[in-house]
Amino acid sequence: MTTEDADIAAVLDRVQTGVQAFDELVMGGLPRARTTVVGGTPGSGKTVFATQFLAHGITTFGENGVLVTFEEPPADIEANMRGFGWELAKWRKDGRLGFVDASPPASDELIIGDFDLVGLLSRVQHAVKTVNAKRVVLDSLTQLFDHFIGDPKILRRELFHISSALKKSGLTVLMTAERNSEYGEITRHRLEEFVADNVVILRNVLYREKRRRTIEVLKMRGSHHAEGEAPFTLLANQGVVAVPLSSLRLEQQSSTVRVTSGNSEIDKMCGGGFFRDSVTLVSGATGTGKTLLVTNFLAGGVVAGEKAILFGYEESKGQLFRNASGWGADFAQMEAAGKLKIVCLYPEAQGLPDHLLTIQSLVDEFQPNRIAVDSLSALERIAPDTGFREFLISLTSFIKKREIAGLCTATSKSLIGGESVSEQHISTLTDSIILLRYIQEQNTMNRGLMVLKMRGSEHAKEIRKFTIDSAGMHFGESFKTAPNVFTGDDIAR
Amino acid sequence: MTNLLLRLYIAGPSATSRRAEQNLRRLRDVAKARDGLAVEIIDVLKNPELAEQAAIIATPTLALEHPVRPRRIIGDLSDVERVLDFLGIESEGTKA
Repeated sequence: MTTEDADIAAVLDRVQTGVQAFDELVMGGLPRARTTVVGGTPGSGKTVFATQFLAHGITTFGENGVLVTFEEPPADIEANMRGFGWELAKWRKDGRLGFVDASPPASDELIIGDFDLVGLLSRVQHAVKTVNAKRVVLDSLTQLFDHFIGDPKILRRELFHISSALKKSGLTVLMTAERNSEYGEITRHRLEEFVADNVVILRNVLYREKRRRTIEVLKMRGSHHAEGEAPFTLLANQGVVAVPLSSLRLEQQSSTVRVTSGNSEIDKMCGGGFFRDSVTLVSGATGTGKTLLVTNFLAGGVVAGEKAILFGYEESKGQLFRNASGWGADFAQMEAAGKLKIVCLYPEAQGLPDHLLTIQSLVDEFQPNRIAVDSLSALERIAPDTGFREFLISLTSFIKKREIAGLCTATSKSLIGGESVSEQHISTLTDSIILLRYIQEQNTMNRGLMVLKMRGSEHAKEIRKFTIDSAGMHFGESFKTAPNVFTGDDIAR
Repeated sequence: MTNLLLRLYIAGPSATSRRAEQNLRRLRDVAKARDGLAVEIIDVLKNPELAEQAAIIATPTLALEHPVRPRRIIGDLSDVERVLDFLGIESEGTKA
């Protein structure tokens, strides 16, 4: 084997970080025997990410680690990381984790003449040998740099030396470094230039009074990686959880199996019902019957022997139950039978990535056949545009991947016609769109329903008049002369 | 006469290590109370656990082991007068 072959083989060997969706971004993990710099502003989650890298190695792969800390003493880190479920103290006692405490000494210190950091390197190598480590974390380089701020040239040389010495021993090294701003130079003092094969950036951006955490792979030497920012969140007992952007792959199977919408007339209009793994958007102004459609969708599924789950962001559980019983559906009984699960959350209770993870974990736990989200517009309030679009992409692809039927609602802003903002984002992502509109005919205000889009199927093209009473939705004639449902203009004039 | 212990942590046979050792010898020669000065030289490559105990980061590091005011000097000690001054050791050149 030539040296070139050896190098390529080494590049292909991947070290999983324990942040699953992140590992997917970098084609399976960080390259073994390479140095990765993780840059981020204070509070962006660098230490958590780095510790998770070690924890995952210890708990999942039997790969021991060494944590070199330049700021906080080991005891503090052990305490801080306990909330994520990582037993650093125990691992240390078991000889699976080594600490090198390189926080600044308490004694007076003076620098006279040339020096190197072999003292630190030999301690790290000693710790690596003691626990037979495969992974090393240095947290953070910036503190080390600031300690020797008067000698930047020496420090750069020495960091390079440390990095290459550790790599030569086959260690996968992760170093954290501070950034001054979310969008500016990569790290303070541009440390990454001297040591990094790979650069990863964690961001914690304040936008419209909301925090949005993202992770970005900026550089990965000799390897492909997904580009752009991927959202993540910090969860108790888990640490960094990146949100998979499944838009990376469009691999969902398309099913031809139809399921009921819960209303036989709508099933007919859709050419026999919704597809089992499709996402349908119901859009309409307030009071047009969106929640009724959702109720029918859930109850219809349960009656057909399916399990259904609802994520409600506008009304409380009590209100939903009352509405449903008003239309003849006994949600309480369905839930008691384990066929239905209603989850009501305030949109503002958490960020969008957390909402997505909540949905995913509850769906995986409950294993429903159908899911409803009421409404997307409520969720849209709390997030910046880009975040909302990512959320929708992730949500729809998640629903399809699980091969369950999805129904989402969106509230249009004007009472007559008009698109909701959610619609603009979601219309290309959903398979079907149902519009609910107020339509004026002479002196009466009627409700109209139309199937605007039904991917992969024929569907009725007319706008059907319907009424709502205590028994639910009743369809009448289609409108003979209807105004434009998008603008509300009376085109029949 | 107080006994002072100076520990010099070096990294193997590097040029800076040698310079630091030479400078430490010069320092002892000019120190007034040279008999009260004990010097220990520790190679961190051979004794990494001692470097760990003393929390050494940079080499060479000269540590003045003092119960009240421990001091450390990092570097090859090229300015002997400054080293003595920082450690609070009088040299023979100092006027009484």
